[in-house]
Amino acid sequence: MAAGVIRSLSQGLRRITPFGSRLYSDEVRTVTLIPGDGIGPEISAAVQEIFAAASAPIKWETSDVTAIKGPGGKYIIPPEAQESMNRNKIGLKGPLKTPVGKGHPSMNLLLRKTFQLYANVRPCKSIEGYKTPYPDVDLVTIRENTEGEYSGIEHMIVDGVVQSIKLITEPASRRVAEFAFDFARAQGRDTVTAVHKANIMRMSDGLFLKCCREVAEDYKDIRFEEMYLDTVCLNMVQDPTQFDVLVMPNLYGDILSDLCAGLIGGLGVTPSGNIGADGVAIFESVHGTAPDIAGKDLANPTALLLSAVMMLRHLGLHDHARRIETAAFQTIKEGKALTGDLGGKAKCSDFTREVSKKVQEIE
Amino acid sequence: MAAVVRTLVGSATKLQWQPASVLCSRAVSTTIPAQDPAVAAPVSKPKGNQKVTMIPGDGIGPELMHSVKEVFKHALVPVDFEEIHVSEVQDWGQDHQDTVDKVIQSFERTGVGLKGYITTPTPTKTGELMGVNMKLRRRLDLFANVVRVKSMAGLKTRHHNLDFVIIREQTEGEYSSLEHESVEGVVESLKIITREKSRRIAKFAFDYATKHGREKVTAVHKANIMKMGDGMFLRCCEEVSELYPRIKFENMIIDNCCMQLVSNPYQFDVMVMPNLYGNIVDNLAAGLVGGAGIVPGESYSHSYAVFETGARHPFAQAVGRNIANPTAMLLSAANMLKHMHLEYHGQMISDAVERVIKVGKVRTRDMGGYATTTDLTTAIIDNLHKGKYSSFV
Repeated sequence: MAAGVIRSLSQGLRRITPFGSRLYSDEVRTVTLIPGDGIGPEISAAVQEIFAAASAPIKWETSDVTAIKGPGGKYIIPPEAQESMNRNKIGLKGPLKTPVGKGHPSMNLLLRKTFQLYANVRPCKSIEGYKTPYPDVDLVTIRENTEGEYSGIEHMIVDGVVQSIKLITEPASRRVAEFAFDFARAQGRDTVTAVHKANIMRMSDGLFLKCCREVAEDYKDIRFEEMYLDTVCLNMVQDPTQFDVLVMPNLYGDILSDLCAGLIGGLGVTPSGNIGADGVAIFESVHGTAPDIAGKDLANPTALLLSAVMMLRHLGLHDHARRIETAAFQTIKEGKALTGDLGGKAKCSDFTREVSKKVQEIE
Repeated sequence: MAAVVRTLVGSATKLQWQPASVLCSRAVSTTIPAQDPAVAAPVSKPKGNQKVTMIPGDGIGPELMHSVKEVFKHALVPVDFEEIHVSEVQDWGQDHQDTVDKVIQSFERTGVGLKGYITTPTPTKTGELMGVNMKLRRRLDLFANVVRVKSMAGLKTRHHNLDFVIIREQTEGEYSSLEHESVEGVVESLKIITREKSRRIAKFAFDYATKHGREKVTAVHKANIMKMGDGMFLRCCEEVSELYPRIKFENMIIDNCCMQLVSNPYQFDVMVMPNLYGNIVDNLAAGLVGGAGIVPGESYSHSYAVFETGARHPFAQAVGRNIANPTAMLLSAANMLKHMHLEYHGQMISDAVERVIKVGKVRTRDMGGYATTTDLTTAIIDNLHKGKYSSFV
C-alpha cells in the first residue's frame, strides 16, 4: 500500500509540475539526504546500505541542516542545503532536533516554510508480524501544513487572557483539497473524507469544508464524505477499516496522523512525505532523535526506510520500491532481527543486514 | 412473615421475571436488610418528587429519554421531569433566545438536568456563530465536563480494564465563537485561554482526584506550538499541582496523548485539558471502551449539574429505527440520581444496566447484538428489583 501511496503522489504531482518525464527514466537520480541528529546518521546509513544492496539508481547528496542566522537576523537553513534541495527537488530526511533556546524556531517548521511544504501525507498500514490491537488498518491522512492553528500568531490581550489566531484561507484549503483528490484518484482509492469541526468553528472550518465540497464537484469518480473530528476519533478507535483518505486542517491532521500511527505501532514504523510547491518533496521519518540510544546501534530504521520507499515510488522506481518494501516487511514478519522497540533484541545493523540480504534474494 | 415473603420473592425473581408492580405489592417489608448503607432503601420517603430539567435534544435524544422515563417509572424514582424541547434543526433559522431563557429558568428551579445533544447545523441561516449547546454551557457556566471512561464487564473491546477520567474545560478555548473574515477568503478564528479559567479547571481536576482517591493528573496541551495560550494553561496546572503534593502531576502533548491512548491507555488516571482537546479525547476514549452509546458524562458549574452522554452525538441516522443504545444515557441518569442524593435508586439502575450488559443476552447493534432499544430497556427494567433491591416498596 505504501507502494500505491507514492505512486499516487507522483501522479498527482505530475499534473502540477512539468518534470514528469524525468520521473520515469532509469537514469541515476540525485537526492538530497539530510541525516539529521541523534539516531539520524545511523538510520540514514542503514537506508543507504539497503539501497546499495538493491542497486537502486539513487545518488545521495548529503547535506547537514542546522539553523543559522541569516543577514536579516532571521533564522534560515544553510544556503548549501537549500541549493541542493532546489536542484534535486527530492529529499530524504532523518529526525532533526530543535535547539532549546529563545527565538530558535523548530527546524521542521523552518524547512516547511522554506520549501512551502503544504501537504503532509502519512500512509498508515498495519504491518504483518508486528501485532497491535488493530490488525487491518489501511488509510492515508493528508494534513494541511501551512496555516490553521499553527499560524503562530498569539498575543496577550490583558494580563491572563491569551488569544491565539487560527487562520484558514481559501487558496490553501483548496490546494490541499485538490491534492487529496488527485492523490485518491491516482492511488485508486475511492473515498476522501474531510475532517472538520464546522459545527463549532462555523466560519473557519466552514470555509475549509466549503472548499472541499467545491473541489469534490470536479472529482465525480471519488466519493466525498465529511465528518466531525470527534466522530472520526470515535470511529477510528472502534473500526479504522472504514476510512480511506482523510483530508484536514493543520491541528486535526497533527493529532489524527499520530493517532493513526499509534494504531499500527507508533512513529517508528510510520512513513511520511511532504509535498511542496514547485515539485519539491521531502520524505522523512517523523519520530524523535532519541538521544538516549543515539550511537548505540539500537535504533529502528523502518520509518526512514519506508519513507525512502515512498520516495522511490514518487520517482517512479516502482520495482525497486517493491523489492525493498517486501524485504523490510518480510524481515519484520519473520521476527528474527527486530530492534528493541519492536520487541526484539537485534541491533540496527543486524536488521539492516537482514533486509539487504533479502533484497538481493527478491526478484 | 415479612422475611418469608421476601425470600420467596427473592427466589422467584431468580427464576422468572416478575413485573415490578407485582413485586412491590408483595414485598411488604418493614425491616431494612443489612447492606451497604449507600444503597439502603430509604426509610422515609420525601414528600413530593424532586424536579429535574430534561432537554431531549435532537437525533436519538428523545428515544433515549423515553427509555430513561420508562426505567425511572419502574424503579419508582421520586423525580419529575420538566421537559423542554430545544432544536436548531427543527426550528431552522429562528432566534433561540426565548428557548434558551426558558431552559435557564428551569435550571434555576431544579439545579439538575439531563440533556441530549442539540444538533448544530452548518451553515446557519442566521449567521449566528454560537450553537445552542454552547450558549447553554456559557449561560449556565458549565465549565467542567467530566467523563469517566471505564470498561464494562462482559463487553468485548480491544482494550480491557480501562478506568480513567477526562476533565475538560468547556467554556473558552477554541469554542469562543469569535471568528471573522479579514479579507475575502481569509478567516481568523480566535482561541481564548484565560488564566482564571485555566486555574479553575486545574483546581477542579485536582479536587476531583483527591475526592475520588486518584493518584495522578495529566495535563494535555500543545504548548510546544501554542506557546502563549496552551503555555499559560500548562503553567496554571503546574502552579495548582504544587498545592496538591500527594497527587502526581504530568503533562503530555495532545498528539502524543492520542497515540498513547490507542497503544497504551493504561497509563492514564485523571486527565485535564482545554476545550477542543477534551472533545477529541472524550470521543477517542469512548471509542476504546465500546462507543458513544456506553459512556456517561457530566458537566458542572458552581451551582448546576447537567448529565449527558460522554461522547455527544445526535446519531441522526438511527432516528426512529429503535436501534439506539440507551446505556450511556441510563448510566448518566443514574449518576444524576446519585448526585441528587438518591443513591439507592441511582445504584439500582446502574447495577441493572451493568448486569444486563454482563450477561450479554440483550445487546443493541453497536454492542454486536440485534436487540432494539425497547428490548434493552425492558431487560434493564426486568433486572431492577433483583438481589438487594428486591425489598424496596
